[in-house]
Amino acid sequence: MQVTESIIMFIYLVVLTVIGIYFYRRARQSESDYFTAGQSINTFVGAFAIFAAVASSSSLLGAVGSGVALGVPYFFTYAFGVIAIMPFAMFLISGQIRRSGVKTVPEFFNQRFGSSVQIVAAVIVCVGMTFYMVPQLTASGIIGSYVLGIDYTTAVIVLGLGFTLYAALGGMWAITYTDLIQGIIMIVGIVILALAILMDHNGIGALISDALSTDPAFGDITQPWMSYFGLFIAFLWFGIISPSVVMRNFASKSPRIARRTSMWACLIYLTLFVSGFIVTSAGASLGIIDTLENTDMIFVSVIDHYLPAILGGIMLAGSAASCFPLLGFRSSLVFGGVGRIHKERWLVC
Amino acid sequence: MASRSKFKDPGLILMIFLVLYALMVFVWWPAEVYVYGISLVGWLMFAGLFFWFLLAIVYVIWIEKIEDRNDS
Repeated sequence: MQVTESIIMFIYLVVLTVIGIYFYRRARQSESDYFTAGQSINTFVGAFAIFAAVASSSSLLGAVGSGVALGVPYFFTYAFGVIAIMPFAMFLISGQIRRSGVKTVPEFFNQRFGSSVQIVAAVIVCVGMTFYMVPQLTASGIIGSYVLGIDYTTAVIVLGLGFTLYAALGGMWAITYTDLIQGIIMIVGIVILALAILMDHNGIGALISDALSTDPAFGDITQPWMSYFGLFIAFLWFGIISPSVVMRNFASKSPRIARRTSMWACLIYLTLFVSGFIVTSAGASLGIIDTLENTDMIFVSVIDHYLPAILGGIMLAGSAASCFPLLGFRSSLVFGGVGRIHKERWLVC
Repeated sequence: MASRSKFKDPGLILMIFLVLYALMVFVWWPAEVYVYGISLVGWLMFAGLFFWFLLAIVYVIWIEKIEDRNDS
């Protein structure tokens, strides 16, 4: 058990719960308040919220782990697809869907195509988001078991129940503001980590050289072309079909705010992946990827290696925390989808 | 906005730029060309991250100008 990290994670969980309880009443004032935070989210909060909704544990752990294991071009492909989500969604859906005045994705389909398509959309959201929660739960389980020193399965169940509870309590209000906190922790943490790595290696040139001398295939295309193309396309389309992105547009104050929110989220995401490139190079330079049971753990190894205990603890807790709001959001979407199938009644109430 | 041609929509036009850049990377695919030890494919994608952000800025400014013109 990592004592420092456990304390930080505990504090974070308490903060999440307090936020959930604080927004409990407001979320129940109206349907709009529960699903879209009263359509009153501004650009600053919205940008971090949409960033945190897309930038999950997979961005931090999966992309870095894949980049170290399969070569840095694989990491770049990940970033190339994920960051394109913001302009892609903006060009195709942000303003248009916000102007429609609906509050959920199934409601949008109802407006366009009728109630039958609405029900199908709600079912797809429920099923799809349930599967999408799996990698997020996996990441929270990996970090949770490492930090808390408990069994992986127990960590997944305990943490999963925790964020489902606060998301169900506070609705989109709680999720948006926990996303804001998590987004700030994530971006500040990874920038600090990247700076610590650059100082340790005396610059980006020396860092890449160190990575290449440890792993000569670090800069290579190691997989078939289709693997890279498929990854790019999958992320690109994820942006406009994922309720986690679309719902943020519903929550914005206006179409103009929705577009600006996506633009600034794009910059935050760009910062995350530029820093992630440095973390990936540092991970490769450690030369331990083959010794790890799960390649995603290389991110934890880099934190342990380059950051002092306290800073590393905050970063690790932040990494685990990055799964929470996202999972909470997925949970609320599943609940919300189920709620709408049952003749507009709220099963979560 | 409603009376404007779909072909003059900033989203559609910038979408073409996004697709063209992605096509350039995946059709050209210079996997065997290396710059500082990393495949040029990787560097093109890295440059693409900044290009995506640039497209986002251009879109926001462009569409707000159109909206302001329509409002006045």
